Amino acid sequence: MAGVIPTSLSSGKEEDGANRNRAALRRVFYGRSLRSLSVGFWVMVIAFLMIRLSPGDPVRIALGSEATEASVAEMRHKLGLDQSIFYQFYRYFINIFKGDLGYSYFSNRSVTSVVTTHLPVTLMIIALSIFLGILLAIPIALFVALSKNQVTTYLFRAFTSISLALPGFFLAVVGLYFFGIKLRWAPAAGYEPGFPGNLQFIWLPALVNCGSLVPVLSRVLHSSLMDTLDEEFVETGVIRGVSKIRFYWSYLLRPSLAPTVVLLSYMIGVMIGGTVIMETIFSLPGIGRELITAVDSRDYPVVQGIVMIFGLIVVFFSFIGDLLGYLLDRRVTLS
Amino acid sequence: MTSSSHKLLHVVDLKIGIPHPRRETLIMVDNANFDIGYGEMLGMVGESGSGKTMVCRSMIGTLERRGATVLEGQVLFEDQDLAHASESHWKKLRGKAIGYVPQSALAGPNPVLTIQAQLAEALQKSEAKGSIAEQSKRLLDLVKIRRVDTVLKQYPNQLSGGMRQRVMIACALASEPKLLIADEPTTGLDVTVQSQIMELLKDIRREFGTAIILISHDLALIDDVCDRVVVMHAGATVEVGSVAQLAVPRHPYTIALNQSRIDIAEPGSELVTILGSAPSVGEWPLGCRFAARCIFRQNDCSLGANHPPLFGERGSHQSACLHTELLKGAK
Ligand SMILES: Nc1ncnc2c1ncn2[C@@H]1O[C@H](COP(=O)(O)OP(=O)(O)OP(=O)(O)O)[C@@H](O)[C@H]1O
Ligand SMILES: [Mg+2]
Repeated sequence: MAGVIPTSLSSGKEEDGANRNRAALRRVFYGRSLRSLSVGFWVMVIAFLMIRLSPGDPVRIALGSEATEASVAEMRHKLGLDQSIFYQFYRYFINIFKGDLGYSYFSNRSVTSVVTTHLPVTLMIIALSIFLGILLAIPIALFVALSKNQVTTYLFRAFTSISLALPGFFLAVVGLYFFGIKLRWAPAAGYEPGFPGNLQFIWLPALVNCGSLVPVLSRVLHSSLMDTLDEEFVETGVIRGVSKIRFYWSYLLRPSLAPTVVLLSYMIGVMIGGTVIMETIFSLPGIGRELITAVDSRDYPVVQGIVMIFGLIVVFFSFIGDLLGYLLDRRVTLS
Repeated sequence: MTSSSHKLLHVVDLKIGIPHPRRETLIMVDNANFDIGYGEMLGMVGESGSGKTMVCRSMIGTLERRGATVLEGQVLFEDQDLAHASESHWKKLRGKAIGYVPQSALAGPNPVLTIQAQLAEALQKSEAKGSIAEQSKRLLDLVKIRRVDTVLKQYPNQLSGGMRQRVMIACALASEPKLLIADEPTTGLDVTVQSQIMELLKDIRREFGTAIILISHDLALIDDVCDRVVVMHAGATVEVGSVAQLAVPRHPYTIALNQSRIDIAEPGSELVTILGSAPSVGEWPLGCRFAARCIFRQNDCSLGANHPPLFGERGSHQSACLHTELLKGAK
């Protein structure tokens, strides 16, 4: 580090430290935005190709096995599927810029309306998972890091490993049985939009997500905390006699949180994939279930639309995660 | 040691270790003995792992958080025994009369707080007049930082190593301490910055009469700025005396340290390195812990159960060698 930073006192370079930082931040912001868009584009291309290359014909699925060749051809023409794949892509691509993601082949809904009605449910589950995950992981990691007892650390490692090894759908089924059927704390199925009424339907899926989220987050945070505890500056905090809250936040947590935050932002991508299963098990009207239905019936526009949105969300949150990491701890470098 | 003494700090037969519920206590410091007078500059030398930092931690109350504790002996600071102070007592003591500049300059300041915020913390207990902002500026002026307003708003990673060290010194001086402990304040800094920091420490001492403990591996540096020197080896004080007295060493370890000095080696001659390495914590031999590396070793050196005590009158030139008579003429 020392080599990069000017050591001489008289050099004017430190003067614009703040300005330079702001400029760097702006550069990073534009760079990331551009990157998000290009990732979104490639995700869209891949989704477009994959769904078309996989076996299964939406038209035959829609019309059933009894359909005549004539009606098949007619519908194919109507949907534009008789055109070359390049032309289809071109049209799809152009329409995106007009804000038109196309229409479902089967219902008359626009893809945009599918996304806007079902995505909030999924995002709610993920938001609640993150909230619960952080709420549980931070105290656990802090407690284990500060406990001088080796047994605590050992138990922590064991439990987190076990929890991680259990598949999410297994936890979901067990949770549903236990909380939904036995204790009747959670409705076994159904959904009702609107906060906070929807919480009673999504708390259990969010808790199941925590089954993998909390072990991952608390492990990473625990190891960062152990590193921080060895740092010289913690000693300074003790000597200065700062208040307890300030000590925990500014001397322990904040200098340790960046890797966890960055990881959490990547975990959002993993969780989006996971909600597909969760929504099916808990019969929640989220976007994951729509995706499964659409893939089943080869509903090209819906599949493409949802996959592209997933891609954008993942890229967006990884950017937010990096940024938040930097704001928490200036040692983090943004690239 | 009683209140009749007029020294600022006495470290008497200090023994520090980490107790373990099942295994034996791990001893890291045993037989540390030295004093420091008001306004005195004391150098502390010794290889890595010889317990220099541990001894200092006993003066600032941060042993506990490392699981270590004072097992025997005293640390008397103006007649208060710091060695056995309770945590609630430490809450009042810490960050007041003893300032501490931690070992690594680069990692010293808190990376997530601005310089301003850190100075404000350090100034919490200050009784000096003026607002926190005024006092912060004064402190940064004192350690010769320019463009104070910019620096106050910056984070440590925006500052060079030398600047960070100045900030750490400023924080340590915030409570106008009578004793400043600087733990290897110049390691990791380039040579010009090193000498600037040393000048700064000298200025501080001259201006405020602050006593300073300067820990360093660099004997030349210590010769230059200190009044007295304490030499540590494997957790024990093996020699203590004034800089002039240590020019004629009375302990083979000091002789070895002197011979491995680069600055006074004759051009063309080979540098002498010290034989072997210091015994690790937990593997100390009986008797003198330097015996295995000593070229003057005698049969009785490893006989006693304990490390030899410091011979000679406290405050004079003392050495823990059983056979100082063999060392005459050696440098
Ligand atoms: N938490 C700990 N657990 C076990 N051993 C420790 C611990 N902290 C320090 N030690 C040991 O105590 C001994 C003294 O350490 P100390 O940091 O005081 O050495 P030092 O003289 O300051 O060395 P350096 O010049 O490298 O800073 C070392 O051998 C070190 O390995
Ligand atoms: Mg040290």
